[in-house]
Amino acid sequence: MLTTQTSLLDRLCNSPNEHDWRDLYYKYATVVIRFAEKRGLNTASGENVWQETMVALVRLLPGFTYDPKKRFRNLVFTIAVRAIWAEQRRIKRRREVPLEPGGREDEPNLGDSLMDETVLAPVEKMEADWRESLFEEAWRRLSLDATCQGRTMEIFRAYVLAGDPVEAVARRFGLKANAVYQIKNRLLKRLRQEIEQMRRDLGELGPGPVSS
Amino acid sequence: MTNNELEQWLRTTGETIQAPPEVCPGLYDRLKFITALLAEAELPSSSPALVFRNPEGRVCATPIQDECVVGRAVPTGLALADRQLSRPHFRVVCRPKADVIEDLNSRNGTYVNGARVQTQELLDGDIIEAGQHIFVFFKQAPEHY
Repeated sequence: MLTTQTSLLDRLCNSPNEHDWRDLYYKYATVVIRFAEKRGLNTASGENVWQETMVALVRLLPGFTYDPKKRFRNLVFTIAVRAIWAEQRRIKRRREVPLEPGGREDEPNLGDSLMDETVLAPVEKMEADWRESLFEEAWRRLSLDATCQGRTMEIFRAYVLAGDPVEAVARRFGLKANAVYQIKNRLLKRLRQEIEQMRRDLGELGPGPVSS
Repeated sequence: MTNNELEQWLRTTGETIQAPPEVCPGLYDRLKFITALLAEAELPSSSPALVFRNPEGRVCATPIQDECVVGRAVPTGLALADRQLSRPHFRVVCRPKADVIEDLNSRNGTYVNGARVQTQELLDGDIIEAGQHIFVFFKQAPEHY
């Protein structure tokens, strides 16, 4: 069943239960971690970012009065960006003043370059990275979907991802070219639905049925 | 984004996307624990805090101004009747730049998110285990987002 942005957000703001938090957690963990990686952090640091993002949301959302003019996505994005900056500062500090005796001398000097990169990163670039992270997660989820596994996905990968000619793909799989087009269109539609649902949950799109 | 643009994006990116391993093992359980504590706690808005459940089951929030020493017998700080705690067990130092936990040579050790630590910078929502107590460290909440 499709949920709407309003229903998920309303539940998180009003009477969140474990299922709602789990929903938010598993839908957006990899989006935020991928986003952090695009900002130059490794996966372990990305997980720190996700922890601080989730804790901030857990603290903030219950009882939170949501302004419909603002997007939930902007709130999550802002919290994640702040958590990335905090993690980058931590990395920089560890280089300057190791907390543990004799520790971390072998780490590459990430701090300066990370901070410079963040300060200089234009908002447009960060927005693009966020969007890309969302797309990647939608594609990953579609790739894992049982209904898209096996032959269907193989055909889609060969035609769309590898860019093989439709005739070659059709011949290889014993299909007509039209069937290959149909598979492509079906999976692209599913991918768009995944992306739209994720954007809807974050308030980027209005509630309503997923368009095709 | 049109189908053609989506197709183009997939062609350039799709094969490089790796399925990540299980996301932050243990973090979801920690968040469940934190959520349950927060439902019962009133956090100070102007300072970091240690939140824990006392032996009577009540959730307590101890604000930290600059530093807080926790142990079985401490002249100032948080003294708890817990035989598994050393007299001074650990301290949390909160500075504008960083919040740091330091084990004070305790007998049974101090653990952050399950790992024994000597000195470590704390993140918002880190879980500290010392003696029979479990604490959650909360940074000072931002004024606004």
